[in-house]
Amino acid sequence: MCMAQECKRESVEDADPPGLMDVFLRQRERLLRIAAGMGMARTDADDVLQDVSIQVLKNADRFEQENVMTRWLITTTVNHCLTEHRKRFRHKASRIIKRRPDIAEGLAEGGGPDRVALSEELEVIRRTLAELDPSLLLAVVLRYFCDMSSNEIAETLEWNASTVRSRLREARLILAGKLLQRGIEP
Amino acid sequence: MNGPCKEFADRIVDYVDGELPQDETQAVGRHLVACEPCRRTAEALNRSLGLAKVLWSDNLDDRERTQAAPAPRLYHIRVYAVAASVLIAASVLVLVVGDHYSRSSLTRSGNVERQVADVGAAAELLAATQILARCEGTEALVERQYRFILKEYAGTPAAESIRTRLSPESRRYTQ
Repeated sequence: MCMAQECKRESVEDADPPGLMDVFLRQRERLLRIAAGMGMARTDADDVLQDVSIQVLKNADRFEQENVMTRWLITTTVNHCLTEHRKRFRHKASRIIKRRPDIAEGLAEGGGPDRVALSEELEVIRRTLAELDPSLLLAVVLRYFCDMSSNEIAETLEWNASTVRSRLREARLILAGKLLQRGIEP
Repeated sequence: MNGPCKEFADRIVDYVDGELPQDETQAVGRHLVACEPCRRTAEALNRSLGLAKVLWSDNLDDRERTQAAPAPRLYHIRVYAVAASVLIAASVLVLVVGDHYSRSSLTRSGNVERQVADVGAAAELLAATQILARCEGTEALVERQYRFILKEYAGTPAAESIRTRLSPESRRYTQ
């Protein structure tokens, strides 16, 4: 082993492992997306992360492995969102459509439903997401809103890979089924 | 409403997610062409996910927090403009009418004050002239004083009193 390689190896071995706060700061954007996916508006999501950061300070020396820290951060964030259940998905669809006309225009492109039908469909999905089992909701949020693959979700949360896929399928079919009950606009 | 075929339901989710192997993708694709309930389920899967992403993105978006108060609508602006116009017109009307009334009342008040002042001045002059008339050798002066009162304070009681007292010869000064 040459001198340069030896020095590099020593420096890697000497480097301090990332602390919980380091991982929290690195994962902050993802945690924010998870909170939004669990139904928290931006201000409420910020409040949740504020609470999580306090927990991070309290548990700074509790973990050593980064993957364990990440799992703990995600579950702590989700639990904080669930305790604030009254704040979850509180913005009704009609209000969102009114405030964000660009959404209606975007979804209506290519012959989508009109504004009223879109508002009704969005409301169906909002209610279904609010009532969805948290484990199913977390799976779809991580997969489709945080762009994690099924394997990444399985590794991060220590779920079985088949469990991730089955939860994703179940959640997707529930959402689609509710939309079909209402009737999809052609 | 018919749901998807049981043997295809789970695979349809994987199919729309693009997570099926090649051979299964083709098989599910062929089935979707033939089966309307499964086709509609596939549509609903895509649509519901799109709507869920809208809700999630809306939560993440802090537009609501940072957005200023909504701009007033056009009809609100019109209402405000009409209200302001009416208010301005009413103010102008009050000022004009008020000014007119105040001017009239000031005019009337000025006339009365002047008349009162004239009556008072004529009465004082008449009283002084009558005192003067009691003195000898002041006839010419008294007569000139009477003429002055008759000329300058014609409408006053003092002038009227002088007219009744003067001889017909003297009255020509008043004509």
